[in-house]
Amino acid sequence: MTRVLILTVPRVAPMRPAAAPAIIKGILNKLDIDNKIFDINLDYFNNFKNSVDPDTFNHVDEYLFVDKKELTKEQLSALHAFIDQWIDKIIQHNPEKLLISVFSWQAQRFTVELLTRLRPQTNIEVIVGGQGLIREENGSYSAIPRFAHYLKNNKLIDHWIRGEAETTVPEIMRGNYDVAGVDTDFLAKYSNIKDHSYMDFTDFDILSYQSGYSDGVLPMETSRGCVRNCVFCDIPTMQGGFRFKTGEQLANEMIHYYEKYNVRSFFFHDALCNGSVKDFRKFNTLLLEYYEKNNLPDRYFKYSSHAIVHSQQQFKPIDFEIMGRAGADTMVIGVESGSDKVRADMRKNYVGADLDYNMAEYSKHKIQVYFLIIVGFPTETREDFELTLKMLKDNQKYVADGTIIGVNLGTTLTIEEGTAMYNEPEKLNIIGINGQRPQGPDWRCIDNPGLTYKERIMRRLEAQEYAVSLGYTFWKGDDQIKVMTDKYQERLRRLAGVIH
Amino acid sequence: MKLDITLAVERRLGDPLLKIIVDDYLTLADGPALEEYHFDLHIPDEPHSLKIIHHGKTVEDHQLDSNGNIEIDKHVEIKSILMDDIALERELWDGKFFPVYLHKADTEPYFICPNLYLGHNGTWQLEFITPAANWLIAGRKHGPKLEGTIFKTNQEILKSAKAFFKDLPDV
Repeated sequence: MTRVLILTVPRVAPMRPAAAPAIIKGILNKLDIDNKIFDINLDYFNNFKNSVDPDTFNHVDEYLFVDKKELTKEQLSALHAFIDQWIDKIIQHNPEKLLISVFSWQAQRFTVELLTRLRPQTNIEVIVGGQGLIREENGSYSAIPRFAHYLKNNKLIDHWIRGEAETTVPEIMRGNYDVAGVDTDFLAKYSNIKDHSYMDFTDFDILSYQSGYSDGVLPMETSRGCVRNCVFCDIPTMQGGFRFKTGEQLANEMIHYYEKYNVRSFFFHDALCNGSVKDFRKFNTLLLEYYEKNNLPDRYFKYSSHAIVHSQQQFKPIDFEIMGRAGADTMVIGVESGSDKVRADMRKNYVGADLDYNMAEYSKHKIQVYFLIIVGFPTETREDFELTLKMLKDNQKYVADGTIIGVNLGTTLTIEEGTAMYNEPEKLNIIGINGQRPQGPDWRCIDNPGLTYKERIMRRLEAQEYAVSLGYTFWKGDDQIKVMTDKYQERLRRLAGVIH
Repeated sequence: MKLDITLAVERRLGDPLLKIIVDDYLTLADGPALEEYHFDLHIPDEPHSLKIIHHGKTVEDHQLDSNGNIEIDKHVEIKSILMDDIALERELWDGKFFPVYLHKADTEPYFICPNLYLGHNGTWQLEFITPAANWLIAGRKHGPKLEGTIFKTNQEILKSAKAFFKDLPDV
């Protein structure tokens, strides 16, 4: 009998298996507990999408992440039919516990729909976890996991797990629910990342993901926390101090996944892979040694990751070289702004010359880069914004040579709980709207009064138009415009009483 | 536009002579071939033609070995062309070489493509468009294809969003 069923639920981009269910499966395996993952998210994108007409799918899909979206009776029926077939499978397995990974706020509506239909039919213990336990849309931290409270108050779940599975799941399986992170607002105890088990992906159909790689992609993790402390980021609050796997541990883990699943492409889903330069160098060196020992060519594995911009003193040309030879494929870089002043206000801890050095090295060693940019930081003047546009222009040559494979401009700066900007808004002279605490998009900077929410959105749209005109591959533009439109309409309703 | 040209030059039998011209009116270089050329062009954003003309070569400008094979041939070979710091890749092989044959046989082609070796007198010609980066990006189509995925970006949606927000009150 399967004692524990683990669910992945939409809406998560179906690029590769999710790490959290595989982490939990690894933990349960270690405890010798029979378990299985149901990948509902992949089924949603690969099968449900093709089983209904495109218009119905688009409406249902929007319903999952656009706040005020409503469905017709037929559209809702299509969604419910999809959910019901999964409920049948769950009940058929009759597990003792159902663990649901709520990846982000975009998985919340589906979770509610699923549980509303599941709970009247079964007494299976339901436990939820994941970043989606909070209501915040652009952050990973909130003092109160409001979505978890909502589920519990409505009797849709029995328990929630807040934070790391490594210190909570084993306790729950022993019947101990009185532990930090289980049904608490505060987070679970941080685990020692050097003790983590390998993830188990055996229940995932790795090749059915839209990864763009013929042999599929698996997620991996190099660290938790971050070496930096950017003012708009909540990772230090959510994940604690920087903890990283040793270079040796990481190389062994990657080799294990290759030997077990025959996958050669990996995505590090943590905040950065190059936080510990020493361990990152060791990791790349060990991969090169493995290639040599097994008569494999350079770049036999490919890995992609978030990375930070280092100066030349910190990260030498040789580091880029071995990184490229070991298999660095795409680095996602939070460049954020073209203005050194704004970057300093963000505490990004690098300057434009460092970015130029990094980009030249990435190009030289054929490592692709994906830019993350924030438009509308509180201290961003029109001149600063122009510098961001100039940065796009200056780096256009790297689009042409194939180094830059995309840019993501987000939905303008939002202030999230757990960030320095949220905790100390006075440091940047930020105030909220109508006397409220500055949060989400509802803020203004006293020193920069022209930067209204509308101005931020207009700059964001202008930057998109400019990036596209320069030939940048622009990611998620349609989704982001829907979100910004939705938020602005909500604000109009709230603040001006205008209803569209 | 920045234009950087690197050549391999065979000058054992004397310097090959070159002209480098853009659009048949802008002469960038004229004289003995150099290994490197660096130009800063002020040309409008539109289609252009780059010509590298090898001229002045005579029948004495190649040397044969005892078997009658060419041992030394006065020539230039295009090694690289960079436009606005971006190296031409497969675009370089789109350039056509129109040789001026000393004794043209019927079997010899009107132009040679792909070819980067300018052994005969003649004109190597490449059509390009400025801004060069846009032209290269459009032709190369690097990166993932996002159409039909949840990552897509549609210009029409952007246009309607701009119009939508433009008229909204600033609250």
